Amino acid sequence: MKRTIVNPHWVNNARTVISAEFHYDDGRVAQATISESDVTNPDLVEIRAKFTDEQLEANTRKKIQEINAERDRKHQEELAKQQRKQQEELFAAKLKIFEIDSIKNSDNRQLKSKIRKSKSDVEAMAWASALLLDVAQKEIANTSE
Amino acid sequence: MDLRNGFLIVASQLKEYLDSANYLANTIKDNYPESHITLFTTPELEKYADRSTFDIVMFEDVPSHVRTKLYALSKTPYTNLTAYVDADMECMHPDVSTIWDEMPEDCDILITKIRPYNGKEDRWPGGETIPKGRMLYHGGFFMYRSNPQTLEFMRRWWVDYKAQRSDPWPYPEEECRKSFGQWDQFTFWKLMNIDKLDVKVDVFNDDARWNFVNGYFPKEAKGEIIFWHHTIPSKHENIGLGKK
Repeated sequence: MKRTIVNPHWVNNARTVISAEFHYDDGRVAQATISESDVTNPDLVEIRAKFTDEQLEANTRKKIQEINAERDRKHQEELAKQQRKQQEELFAAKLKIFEIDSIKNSDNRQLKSKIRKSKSDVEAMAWASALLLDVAQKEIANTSE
Repeated sequence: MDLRNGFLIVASQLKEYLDSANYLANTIKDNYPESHITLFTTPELEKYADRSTFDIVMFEDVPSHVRTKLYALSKTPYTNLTAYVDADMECMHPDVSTIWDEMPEDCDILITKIRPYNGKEDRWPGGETIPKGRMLYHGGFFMYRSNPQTLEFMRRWWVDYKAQRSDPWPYPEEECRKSFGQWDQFTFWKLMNIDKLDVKVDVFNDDARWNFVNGYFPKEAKGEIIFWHHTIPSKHENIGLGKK
């Protein structure tokens, strides 16, 4: 059956192993990996007859770029996932803190701002505690007056 | 009070949105104390508004609708520039005070772009994906001028969005799918491309910095993030495009 060889490229630094796709007329696509030492392999013979060393090198460079781009995309996805989880948990924690009446109704803008600008839920809770202490101290002072 | 430029926040339907709007407004004030902020909310939620932070709270006749924001846009109290900010955003950087300088002279609406990998996807009848190619803009954060053509655009955005949410679907199904009806971005696209309203739209420089939507790749923003776009922790899913 007639077939077309697509994108043959080196898969190792020593340039001793080639990989290529074989597209058949019936729609099948097969991936083959062949060693340069297998000199009688008809797939290798055909690849070496149809593609120059320069073409193999160019395909290899393109393949490396594709692999690096995919690796970078996956890395970014993972970072985005972690960042999203962290930010959403922090945002939810801050909103919950501001549901506390004593905090919501406090006029201590400075400490409220500290809560909003906190980089972690622990920091936000620490500033929330400081604000609640401030509220409590003011209440005690008002009661003793 | 000179209300030339200011922020506009809308919260309706759920108290969670109002709580988040209060939080957002305070984060803007933390980073930009001189800013003016207007809230549009509904009469039943108005009592929860943090009046120490908002210059103006509008609630009379404000409808409770999934896109109350569209109702509010043309009613902005600002005479020059309005920055609309979704209620589930958070201001994180003092560079927010430079926002008015971002607007180019010849621009009516300055907006940010959707990242297709981070949004819901649909297809035109011909198979072309959305948002790739056509509906490019994120409706959650933008700045606009109070000139007649832009205010008319905002008015039409609300009127036409309500029409597209009505039954029957007002457009030929073979040209525009009924599933587009939930998206205010579709209305925006239609006003620009079918109705050809005369407004000039441009995109913020380093736009992800101004509207960093949850799920964006960190490298999208070149500078430090100014507005982070969260998802409100609620049982109710926001159906806006650009959010998962």
